[in-house]
Amino acid sequence: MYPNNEKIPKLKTGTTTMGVVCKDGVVLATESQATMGYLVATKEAVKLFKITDRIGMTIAGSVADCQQIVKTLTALVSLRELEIGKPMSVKAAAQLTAVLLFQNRLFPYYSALLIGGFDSEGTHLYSLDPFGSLIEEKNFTSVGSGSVVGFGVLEAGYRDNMTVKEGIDLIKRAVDAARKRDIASGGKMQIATITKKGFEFVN
Amino acid sequence: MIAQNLVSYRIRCAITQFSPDGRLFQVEYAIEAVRRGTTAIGIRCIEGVVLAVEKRVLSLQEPESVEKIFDIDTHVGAAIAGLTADARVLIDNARIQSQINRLYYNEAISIPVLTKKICDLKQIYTQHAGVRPFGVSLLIAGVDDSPKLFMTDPSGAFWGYRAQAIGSGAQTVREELEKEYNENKSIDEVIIMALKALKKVIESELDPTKAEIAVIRAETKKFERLSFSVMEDYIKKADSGS
Repeated sequence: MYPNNEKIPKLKTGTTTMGVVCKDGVVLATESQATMGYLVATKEAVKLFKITDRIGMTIAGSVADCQQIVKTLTALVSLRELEIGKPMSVKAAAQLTAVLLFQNRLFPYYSALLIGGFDSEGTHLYSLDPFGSLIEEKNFTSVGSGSVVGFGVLEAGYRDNMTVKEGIDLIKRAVDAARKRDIASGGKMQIATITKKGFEFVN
Repeated sequence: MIAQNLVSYRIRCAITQFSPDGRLFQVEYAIEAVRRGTTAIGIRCIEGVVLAVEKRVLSLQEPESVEKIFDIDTHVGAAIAGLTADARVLIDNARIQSQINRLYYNEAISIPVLTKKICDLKQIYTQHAGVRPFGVSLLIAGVDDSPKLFMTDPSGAFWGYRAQAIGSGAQTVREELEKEYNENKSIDEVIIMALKALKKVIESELDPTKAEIAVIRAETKKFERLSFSVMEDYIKKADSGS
């Protein structure tokens, strides 16, 4: 019925998410298209979330799995902050997410995440794969089907010690390129900055 | 009938029951066990935290095998007064909790969080049926953002201190600490202060086999136990100073 004798068709999905580390904060950005094969399921998917006032997260992969991760992580981080009586560090939140993913490695959350934030130790950006690998990114990174396009722009435009303002300009160009050239990416652009002022969405 | 049996069963099994005036005698008896224990002192200053304990070593006993100060993680340790066997169980639990914290959060556990974890366990043993409370108080000393010192009691309550003593000589030592305490003292001065206070409650002459000292410096955040030879030097200084 279907190619390769498969009863259930594998619907091609796709996303573009990216993060840029600046000297005074982190910029996270995604586009907003949810794709199922040849169908654009929605043009207004939310892929960028505020976890705390100092931590943001982008999601890519199964929407159901990612939404559960966001909700679980938000709850766990709230409990942890009550326990320690101060804001959680980005490193700790990222490690907690990695444990959450690794504990489910037999039935993994189908997700690729970026966690970015600003804390007493400065700016941080982490990328996580579905099994809980945790990599700290010093400059920038991108995840999803549109990442190959985005990386090109980021690689060419990134400089050390960028300001958040310059970071926003760069990430806009990168997401825009992915929206135009990746078939599974499109819709609107969602951008957020996490600086010492906290988590803010950029219009 | 069944309900009545359940009630009487519960009364027989639950050891810690409220008295009519709202006290928990078993917990109070456990606190009494701490009062009869060896003296332990904790002093916090800007440079770090010092733990000092009295050791009662019998004539043919190996002094090194008597342990009253335990390291829990690289940056935190605890001194005990009361039942040593009960303390070991709490220390084992505390060590596991600090490793869990590293595994889940990639961070060394903060001292108040560790104290709460230990007290959670202590509290359970004041409320469950068929168990008795831990007959031990801990002085938990460590450095997270800054040097910290906490005391726990058998009920599971805890308080933060700049300086505190537990065990049989606690009252005498506390009076001494109240007179001598100054946050700006150096670690060396604090160790000598602790030894001087300890001398007041030890019946015989103080020597390195009769005391145990550990230091966690704010600079290194590392738990260090003083060796016999280093302790000897400090004891000499404490002797000459008094």
